[in-house]
Amino acid sequence: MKRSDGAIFLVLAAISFSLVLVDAYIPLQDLRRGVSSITYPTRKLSEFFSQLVVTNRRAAELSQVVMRLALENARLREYRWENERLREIMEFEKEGYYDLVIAEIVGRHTLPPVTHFTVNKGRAEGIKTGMPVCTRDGLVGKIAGVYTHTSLIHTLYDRNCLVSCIVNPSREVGILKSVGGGALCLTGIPLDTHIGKDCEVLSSGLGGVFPEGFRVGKVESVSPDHLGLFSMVKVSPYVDFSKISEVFIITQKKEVRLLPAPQEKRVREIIPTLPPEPIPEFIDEINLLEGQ
Amino acid sequence: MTKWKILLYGILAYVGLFLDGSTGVRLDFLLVVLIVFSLREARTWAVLFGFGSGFLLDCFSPRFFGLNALLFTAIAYLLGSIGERVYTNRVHLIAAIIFICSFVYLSVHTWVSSWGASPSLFFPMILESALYNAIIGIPLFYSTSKLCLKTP
Repeated sequence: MKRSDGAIFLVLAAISFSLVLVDAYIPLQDLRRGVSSITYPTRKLSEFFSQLVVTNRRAAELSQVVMRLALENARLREYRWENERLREIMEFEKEGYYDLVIAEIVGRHTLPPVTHFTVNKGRAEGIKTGMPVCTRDGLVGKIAGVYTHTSLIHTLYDRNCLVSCIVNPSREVGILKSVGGGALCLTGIPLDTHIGKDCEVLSSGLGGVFPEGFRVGKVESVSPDHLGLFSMVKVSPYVDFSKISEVFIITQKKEVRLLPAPQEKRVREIIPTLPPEPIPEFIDEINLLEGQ
Repeated sequence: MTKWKILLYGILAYVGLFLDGSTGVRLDFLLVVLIVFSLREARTWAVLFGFGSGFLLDCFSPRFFGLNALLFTAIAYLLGSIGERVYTNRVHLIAAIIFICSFVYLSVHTWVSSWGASPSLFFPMILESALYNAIIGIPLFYSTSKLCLKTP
C-alpha cells in the first residue's frame, strides 16, 4: 500500500509539474474556461448567498442611516418652522424657494475666459433682463439681453457682471468683479482681513440682483492691491464655464411656508423605523421625541 | 472512506473554493480543509484530495496552472505520512502543523507567483495568513472529527 501511495504521489506530482511547465509556454486558457463554465452555476449560487449576506448587512446599515436622517429631518423641520415664526415676529422677509427655468446653452464665447452665453429660453418663456443664472455648482451670471426665444447671459467673467459677495466664515462683504485675464477679484476688502485661502464665497443678496446664499467660488489668494489700500482677494469660481451645457434661470421667488407636522404623527413616522435595540447615540433623541 | 465523509469534505472543499473570492477574507480555507483531511484520512485519499482540490483551485488562478495542485499534493503526501503519528488531542500540535503548512505553502506560492520580488515584502502578509489559518483550522479539525464520528 505504501509503495502504491508513493507511486500515486509521484504520478500526480509529475502531472502537476508538467502542467506548470506547459502553462508557462502555452497558457491553458481553454481548460480554465471549461472548468469555469462547469462551475459557473454553483459559483453564481455561492455569490448569490454571499451577496445576500452583504445586502443584509448593508440594509441594516442603511436602516440606521434612514433613522438618523429621519430624526435629522424632523429636527430640521422643527428649526425651519421656528425660523419662519421668528422671521414673522421680526418682520423679516419670508424665506422661500425659487422658480427655476432650465435653459440649454446654444451659443457661447469660445475663447476663455467665457464671458457670455446664449441660451434657448427668451421672452416667450418669461425670461427678463437681470435675472440671475446658476447651475448646480454655483452662480453663473445674469441675463443681459432677452429676445423672443433666446437670451444672452453675461457670466461672472464679464466686466458688467458685478456680484455682491460675502466670505465665509469671516462674513466680510465685497464686490466680485472680473479684473481681466480670466481672474475674478473681490474688491473693497480691507487690508486687515481675516479671509484666507479656500474660504467660501457666497452671494450676499445685498446688490438686489443675485439672491442671497448662492455659492460663487472659493478664495485662491489674498494680497494687497497695487495702491496698498485694500486687499485683493482672488476667487476661483465653482462653475467650470467651459463645460456647462445647461443652466437654471431664477425667474421668481416663491414664498413657501412649511407647516409643522403634529408631534404625534412625526413620532409615529419615526418609531417604526427604529431597530429593535436603539444605538446609544440615538437613545436621547428617541426619548426626546417619545417624550414630546 | 464513507460516502458521508466524502459529502462532508466535498462541501468543505466547495466552501473553500469559493470563499476567498466572494468575501474578500484572506483565508486559505481549502488549504485548511486539506490539512485536516490529510491528518485524518489515509494517505492515498489525502494525495488524491490534494491533487483534485489543487487542480480546481488552479482553474481559478490566472497564472501558473498546476502550482496549487503540485503544492497541495506534496502537502497531502507529507501530512498523510505523519498523520498516524500525530496525537490529535494536542491542540497546540495541530495548530503548529497548520501554521507551518500554511506558511510553507504561502511562501512557495507567493515566491513563484511574484517572481523577482523581494520575499521580505510579503513576509508579514504570509505570517498573518498562516496564523489566521491556524486559528480557523483548530475548530475545523475538531468539528470534523465530531461529525465523522457521528456519521453513520
